[in-house]
Amino acid sequence: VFTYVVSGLQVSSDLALPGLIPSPNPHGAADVAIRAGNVPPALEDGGIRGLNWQMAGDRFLLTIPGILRMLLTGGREIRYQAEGDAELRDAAIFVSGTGFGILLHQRGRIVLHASAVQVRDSAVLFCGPSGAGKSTLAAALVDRGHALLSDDLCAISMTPGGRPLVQADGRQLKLWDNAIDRLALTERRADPVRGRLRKFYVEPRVATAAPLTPAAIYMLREARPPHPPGIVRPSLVDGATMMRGNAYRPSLVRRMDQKDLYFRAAVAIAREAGLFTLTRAMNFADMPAVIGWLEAHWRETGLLERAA
Amino acid sequence: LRRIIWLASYPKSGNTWFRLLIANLRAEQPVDINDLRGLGGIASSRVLFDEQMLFPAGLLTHEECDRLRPCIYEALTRGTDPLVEPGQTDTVRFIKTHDAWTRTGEGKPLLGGRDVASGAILIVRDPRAVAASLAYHSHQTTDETIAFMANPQATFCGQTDRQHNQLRQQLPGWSGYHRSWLGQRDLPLHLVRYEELHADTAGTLQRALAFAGMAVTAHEVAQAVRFADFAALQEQERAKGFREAPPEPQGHFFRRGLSAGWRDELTPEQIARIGAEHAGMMARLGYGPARDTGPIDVPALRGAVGLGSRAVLPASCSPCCRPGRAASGSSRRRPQVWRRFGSGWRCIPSAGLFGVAGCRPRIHASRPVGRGPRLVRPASRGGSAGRCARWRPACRSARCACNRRSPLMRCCGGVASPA
Repeated sequence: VFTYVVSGLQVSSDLALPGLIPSPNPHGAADVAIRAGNVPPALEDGGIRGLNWQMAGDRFLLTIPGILRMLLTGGREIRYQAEGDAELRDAAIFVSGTGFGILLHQRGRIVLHASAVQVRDSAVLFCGPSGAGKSTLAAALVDRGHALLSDDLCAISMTPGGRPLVQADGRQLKLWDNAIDRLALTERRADPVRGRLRKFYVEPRVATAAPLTPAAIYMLREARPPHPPGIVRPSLVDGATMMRGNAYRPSLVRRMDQKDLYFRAAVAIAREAGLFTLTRAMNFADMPAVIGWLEAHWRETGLLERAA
Repeated sequence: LRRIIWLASYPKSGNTWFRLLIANLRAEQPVDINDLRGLGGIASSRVLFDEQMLFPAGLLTHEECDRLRPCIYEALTRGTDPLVEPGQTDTVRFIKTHDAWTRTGEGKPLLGGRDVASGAILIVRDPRAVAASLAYHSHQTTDETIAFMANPQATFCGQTDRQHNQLRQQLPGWSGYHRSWLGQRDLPLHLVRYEELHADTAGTLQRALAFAGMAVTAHEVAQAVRFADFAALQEQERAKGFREAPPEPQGHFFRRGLSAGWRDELTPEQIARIGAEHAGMMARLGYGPARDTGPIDVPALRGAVGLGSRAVLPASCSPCCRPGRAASGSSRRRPQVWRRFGSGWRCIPSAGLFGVAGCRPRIHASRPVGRGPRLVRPASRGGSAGRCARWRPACRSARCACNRRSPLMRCCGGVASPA
């Protein structure tokens, strides 16, 4: 059995999940159990049915056709079964990524589609849908010495005092070959995320497992009319709507009646940190310039002076 | 249930302009070119896939992804469309696609079959104009673009070392692309030529919408034509930019908007190369062969395919026309006529429009005659009584040298054209 710490949760799994942080306390009680087992192709008690998923009560069934079926129960258990003769090793990324993301939605966490790095003693998040450039930007910042906090999935929990806290999530970055090449990270390239993909785990130069207060959340956009390049602070309502749109699965926020939860979190985060849009050309040549804007922005907002 | 109509085209063939025309039909003021949310998006959208499946397409190979794509579109028609706001009530949903008509490994059409879409509007444009436009938009040389257009393995977003913003789209060459759509027998198809859209925007739009089963008034069409006038679109782009423009300073999407602007952008060698590589499909779609550099006479073209006028062809376009024999200056002309053969109609002579390469139809004049003939589609050919009552006449004469089915000879989809 493998044990990991994901988003502050102790996870025990009978499937090796590369890219996650191994638990420093392997014998601790598990918050989430991941195990192989029988997963029915459909839930009997109806519920809401999507194309390849079904949600009934506290159970969520998701099929990755031809690869894997997962049954998520109460935010506590992920039971998985390979579809056909699919290789489980090839399916791990769907459990640790998609499966865990939906499980966090189930637990009522604020879960953003984001990568995060540490800037001084705070967390800075970059949100966007698949392909928005989250991991690439995080990788470039890690290269500048900012520790990696999480990649692709970012869970925010609220302290009893109502302050947001970002939990570390990933130990490794996930990058496509082209980005690895352009960022000169070939030496840090580890196994492929799936056997047949040219997307690889990449060992970050620095990473952290400590929970941090978010200081800024940037929502990534490509610079195309009518959005000019730059960093802009949207109105609170716009920012809150955008943040909900950057939930790991926005449609689940709606279906799980969590709109309100996300709005309140966005307000708390906007007060505590800042919600911004970061609009830039999506090419590697402009990456140094974008990092320049970010560092200038951090100086402006006092983030770089906030050092302990 | 919403009906999907695919707006299929090879890139740079007028798809965006056509969509802007549709978007402006019922707008109170000209639609912002950067705000086309009301339209159905593009079939190869990554967000559409990820939001439906709840796992990222980026974790699949292109082939694995293709296998699942038909289900995505099936789900759209069941009303589980995550990108449509509740309350949006239009019954026809136009979705753009640059995907060739292909089938998955399991034999399903990639875009789903008849239960997904009720038809497709295929927008075509002279490949020489496409080459000039595509080269400009893709930052490639014209020669590279011409090679891309001749490559049966070509794709958009098809690399494997990165994640593209869209799902892979197969574009098996300009000819292969159109062959795939014209050859499919799953969906009724309506053909729109870019050149025709230019020459008669309102009429072309109205016919396409009638095919799609969308009832529009003449006023709405006139307004769309005015709001999405090419100059007006250029003005909007000048004022505030266009999100689909090539990412370059001063790169413009609405560039020239000419039917025949390629003449001063391609070299004679390039024109000849395109003509040679795509001769068959160009002839089939009514684009003059390489050596024909005269302007395309659109009303006459329409006449020649039976859309309401009768074309008069020079004698050189009679069935005796052979490859390599250009039209001479012969003054002997004879009219093109439609004749009934058994249960169908045939045009004689007809090598003019769909003739072999090298035949140079010069359409001298046209005069209006009545509508095309009405026929009941026989059940033996997939028709169902009461659904469809109109075939367009076609060039299928045994004596015709081209002996090709006209791409326009398609079932109208059971939608009555405006009488």
